[in-house]
Amino acid sequence: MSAFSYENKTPIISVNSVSYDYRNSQGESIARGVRGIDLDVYQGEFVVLLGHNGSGKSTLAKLLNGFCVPDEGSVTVAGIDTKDDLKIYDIRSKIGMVFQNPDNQMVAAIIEDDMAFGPENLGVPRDEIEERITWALDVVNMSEHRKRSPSKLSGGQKQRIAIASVLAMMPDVLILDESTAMLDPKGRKEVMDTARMLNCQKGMTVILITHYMDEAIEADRVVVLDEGKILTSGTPKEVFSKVDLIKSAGLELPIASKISSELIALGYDIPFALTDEELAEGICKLKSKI
Amino acid sequence: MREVSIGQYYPAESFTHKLDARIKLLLTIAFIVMVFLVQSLYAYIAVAAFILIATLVSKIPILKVLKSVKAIIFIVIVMAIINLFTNREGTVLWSWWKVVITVEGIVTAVKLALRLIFLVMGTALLTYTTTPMALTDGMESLMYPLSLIKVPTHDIAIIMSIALRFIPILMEEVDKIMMAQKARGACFDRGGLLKRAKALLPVLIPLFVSAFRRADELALALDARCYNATPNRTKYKQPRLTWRDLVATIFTAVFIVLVIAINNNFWGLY
Amino acid sequence: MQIKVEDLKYTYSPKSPFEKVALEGITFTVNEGDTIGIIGSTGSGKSTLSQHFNALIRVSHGKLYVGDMELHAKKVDLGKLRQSVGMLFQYPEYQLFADTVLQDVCFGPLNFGMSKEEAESRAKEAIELVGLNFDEVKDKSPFELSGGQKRRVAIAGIIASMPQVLVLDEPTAGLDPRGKRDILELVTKLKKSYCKTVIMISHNMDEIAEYCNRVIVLNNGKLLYDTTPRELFKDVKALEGTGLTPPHTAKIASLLANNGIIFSDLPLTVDEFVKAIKGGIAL
Repeated sequence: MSAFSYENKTPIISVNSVSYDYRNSQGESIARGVRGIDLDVYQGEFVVLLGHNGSGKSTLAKLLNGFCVPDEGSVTVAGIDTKDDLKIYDIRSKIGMVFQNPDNQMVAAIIEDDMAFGPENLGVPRDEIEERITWALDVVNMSEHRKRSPSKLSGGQKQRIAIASVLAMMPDVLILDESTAMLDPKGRKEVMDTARMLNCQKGMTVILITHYMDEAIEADRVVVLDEGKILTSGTPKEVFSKVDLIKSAGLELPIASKISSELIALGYDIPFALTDEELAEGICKLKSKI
Repeated sequence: MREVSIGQYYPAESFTHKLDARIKLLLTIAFIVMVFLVQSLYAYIAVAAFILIATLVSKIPILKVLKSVKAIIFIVIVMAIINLFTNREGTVLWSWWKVVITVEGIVTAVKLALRLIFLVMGTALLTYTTTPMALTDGMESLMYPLSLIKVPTHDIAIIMSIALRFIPILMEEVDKIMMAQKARGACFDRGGLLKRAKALLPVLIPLFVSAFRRADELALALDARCYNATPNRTKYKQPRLTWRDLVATIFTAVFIVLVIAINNNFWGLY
Repeated sequence: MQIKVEDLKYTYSPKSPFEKVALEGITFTVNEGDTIGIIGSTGSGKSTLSQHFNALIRVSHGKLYVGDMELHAKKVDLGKLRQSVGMLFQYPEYQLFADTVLQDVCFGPLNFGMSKEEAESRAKEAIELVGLNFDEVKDKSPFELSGGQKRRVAIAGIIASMPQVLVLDEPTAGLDPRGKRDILELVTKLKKSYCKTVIMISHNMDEIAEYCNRVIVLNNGKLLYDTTPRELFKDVKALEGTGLTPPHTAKIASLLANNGIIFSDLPLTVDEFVKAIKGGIAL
């Protein structure tokens, strides 16, 4: 995978020293959301937000499309401030959001009707909705299910439909808010493959929120949240090599990283590995040296 | 594994299935009005013939249509009996103490029973041949005039659509929760009515909690997909009327005229 | 308590157009003290099988012995059975219902006929065993707790009835890494106290490899393998066609094997792997 180039790129999403607390009806803070977050996301980037439950990663996602408005600081999407009530739907049509439970985000009992919901809300003409549905189903490779009910599908397929429904709004950014958390390994792979394909082939900006480390390995950038703050960020290799920091954030390294970091600590001359393949290669090289 | 079918849509490839939902709704309403207007027994026979023809055209097994009556048969009988005993005028057929049965009483009771049965069979034909989705869309479309006086017809349609989608999901959830509580020793089929009702609490509370959680998430999902972004919402499915709708309308109209004619003895024309 | 499954078969909606064979010809034995993993892709029959163990699904064909109870018999003492076989469903926090944590945990024991005092003392023990502070949580509403805490309360609700066998249907699903680790450590702890036998359904092969001493592989309702994780994952190709992926350590080992580096004993955990390298096996 080629490294993402940040040259000549302008951020599509800009988060500037944002803080947010959950409040009750009296306006008193009842739970910490996020604190002093600075984050720029660039067009075409694949960003993974990692963090344990309650680390603030889902709050951050909600700040990105105006579900939450910052107490302090500002969030801009394609130059529009999320505080601008009049343009909130411009922002939401630019940022497609897929949630955790596929069943709780479908409104219609027939797949194409569900997919039409977003574009209908935006007032897209009928013929164009038709084209968009055809296109989006093709992208997620679910065309043959168009006239069927989602209830018979597997979890992974349902999430692909949820992605297609969001794609039909033609967003610039796709946010997957723990969209793989409830799926079995096969379903997770389906969703991850779809997200990667959208990123690589269609140039879609993808923000993936997860606590599965494996899913972060191929990201352009990993951002680790803890206690509502950004703990560290960088390429997967940069982030995962901070072994103790990752542990302190309540996360776990990929198995290959765990093994390689322990071997390195024991004095073995192998590179830090993220994937099983990298680790195997490192061990083989080590053997050939001896 | 449970299949829940609201209105028990019966999938088939038939003339009636292919009709526009709005037309079917309107024709059903016309049919209901007709059934209420009908008085003469001959007209009742004509209505029965109409239902028979409509059933045959829709390729729904006749037995299935008859079965739809089963659900209300108790009400039909009770209503008929009440009518039978309360009608005290006319030719007395049989009397004992304060109970009087008249010929007119029997006729009214039979008519009432038939009327109810026809109503149920007619509406059953509608729900057997129309998917819940199409029905919702049809209703929204027919409610359009109401939207002019600020009735949120579109919201109503979305609510109906979501309800239809979530009923099977929640039914499955009931199964799951019941199993989980059974594993914890709960018993749902023992004891008196009160005890059984109480035993359902451990199922109902988690069910409500879950329904609210789902509602919360769904609300976010609706917002994320720009619900209410513009008043100029478009409609992806715009059903077009076909020759079938015309044929069905003409056929029903002719039949209604015929039934009313029979009912009024052809206005004494012959 | 031993569980013996003999030629178990189960069909959903038999003699209807929706007929579907969910299990066929399943025979295996779970011995006391086993931690047995049941694995297979979604729809392979894992849940159907596990629901047989406490008669949530009745045996329709074949035989099933749980201790001295015969579940294929016409009459089964459901109370006794369900008290001995505790079953934790997927996302068990969604079955919590009572006003307080204590009441919820007491639900099982009371249903199984314990006195209020006994149930409460069992509940206290169970709540402490799952790592929650009894005095802190007992009067709280279960709905106020965090996700991981709710799941612990649900587990306490099962173990308060003191089952001898624990059936866990994806106990770590949806939890973050710390939550997962906590639950798995809890299971290990429970095995040392009273739930001697554990049957665990999981999609996570790393967990299965680390925690189970035996593993049953189901594929399309049939039993494909009944072996130890070390045997099963030795040959990563064996899992092909089942929709399962081997644990990471096994995958790394097979990559190394392609390059002539062979482990005499397949490492199943990070520690085992590092130890093998240290022991010079590979080098």
